[in-house]
Amino acid sequence: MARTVSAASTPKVQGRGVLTLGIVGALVVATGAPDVETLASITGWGVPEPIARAGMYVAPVLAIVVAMLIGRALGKGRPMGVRWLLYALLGGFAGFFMGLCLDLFVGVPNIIAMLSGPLAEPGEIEMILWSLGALCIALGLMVGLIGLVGQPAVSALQVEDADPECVEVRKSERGVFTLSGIGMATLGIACAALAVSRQVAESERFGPVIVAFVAGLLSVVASYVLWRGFDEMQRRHVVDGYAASAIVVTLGAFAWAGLQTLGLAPPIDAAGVFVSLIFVQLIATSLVTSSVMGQMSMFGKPA
Amino acid sequence: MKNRLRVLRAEREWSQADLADRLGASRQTVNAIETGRYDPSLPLAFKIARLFGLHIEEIFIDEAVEAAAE
Repeated sequence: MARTVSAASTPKVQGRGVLTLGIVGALVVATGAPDVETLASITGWGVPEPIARAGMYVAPVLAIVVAMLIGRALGKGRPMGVRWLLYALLGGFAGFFMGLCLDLFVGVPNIIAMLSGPLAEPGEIEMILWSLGALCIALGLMVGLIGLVGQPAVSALQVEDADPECVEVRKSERGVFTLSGIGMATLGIACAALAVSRQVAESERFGPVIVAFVAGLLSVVASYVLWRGFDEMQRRHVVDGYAASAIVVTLGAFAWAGLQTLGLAPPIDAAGVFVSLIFVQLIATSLVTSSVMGQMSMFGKPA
Repeated sequence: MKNRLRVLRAEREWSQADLADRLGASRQTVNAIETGRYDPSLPLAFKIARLFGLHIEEIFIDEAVEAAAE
């Protein structure tokens, strides 16, 4: 009988992603201020204010670390798709908890207001645009870091222990990560600029819209160059991801249309369609890719 | 679908990167084929067979046929 592939028995490389996420979480937390309502609730339970304030900075970082450790423990031995869902769910809870404790990036609105004029209070679509933008920029920076530094960055971002072949990043592969990082970050900038354009005065909208268009165009160009360099398997992942997104978005749009007719859902504008598409595509392409590739491609949207 | 790609590659002392370069594919694709997570297209399977000087069925094993034979 022919010899066939057997499970690799090479020693695993230790992933330091939990530590890295803890450090990144601490840096993000440092940009925030305690949420007034949550602080009032905690002090209302009899907790002294200084302790409550300190706890609201410390607890979110602990939540991130604990969420990842629980994800690792629960996901052990399970398929990659299941592990991806576990990390996404637990990470989502940790993120929600962080948002409950702190108003993050409190200085950013002032900086943007200096550039584009005062910002109106964000509505639901603007909140989603900001969240997506921040997520894409963060992912873009992470992936871009792999492009710049290579293997040490992969080890630092890898949540689980991995095969050496998964952690290895060759010089020729760094370009792919760099382009992918640029594509993600510019998509994030486009989302944020679109949010700004919807929050500034009508006379100030031209600037943010131009920024959004230029960033969006750069993202498309980066994705196209990436696609041109992909081989058949990588292209199949992209196609599978977009096919899954198309099904979800079509079903979602159909359901929304029905609910809107019954007066149970508000009308949705072009920005709403855009954020829905980007959100679903991010999830679908990451899930499809991670299911097939395992640890090698957990770093964002492939194209 | 099972395959003997890892064994054939090891016999020639090629790394996954060496094989990927020879096939014009990515290292991730070679890794996914070796570990059975991805079945290559016919053109790529023929390319692999040509590279090792073998027939496709000497590299890729249809598990259904194997089970029937047993």
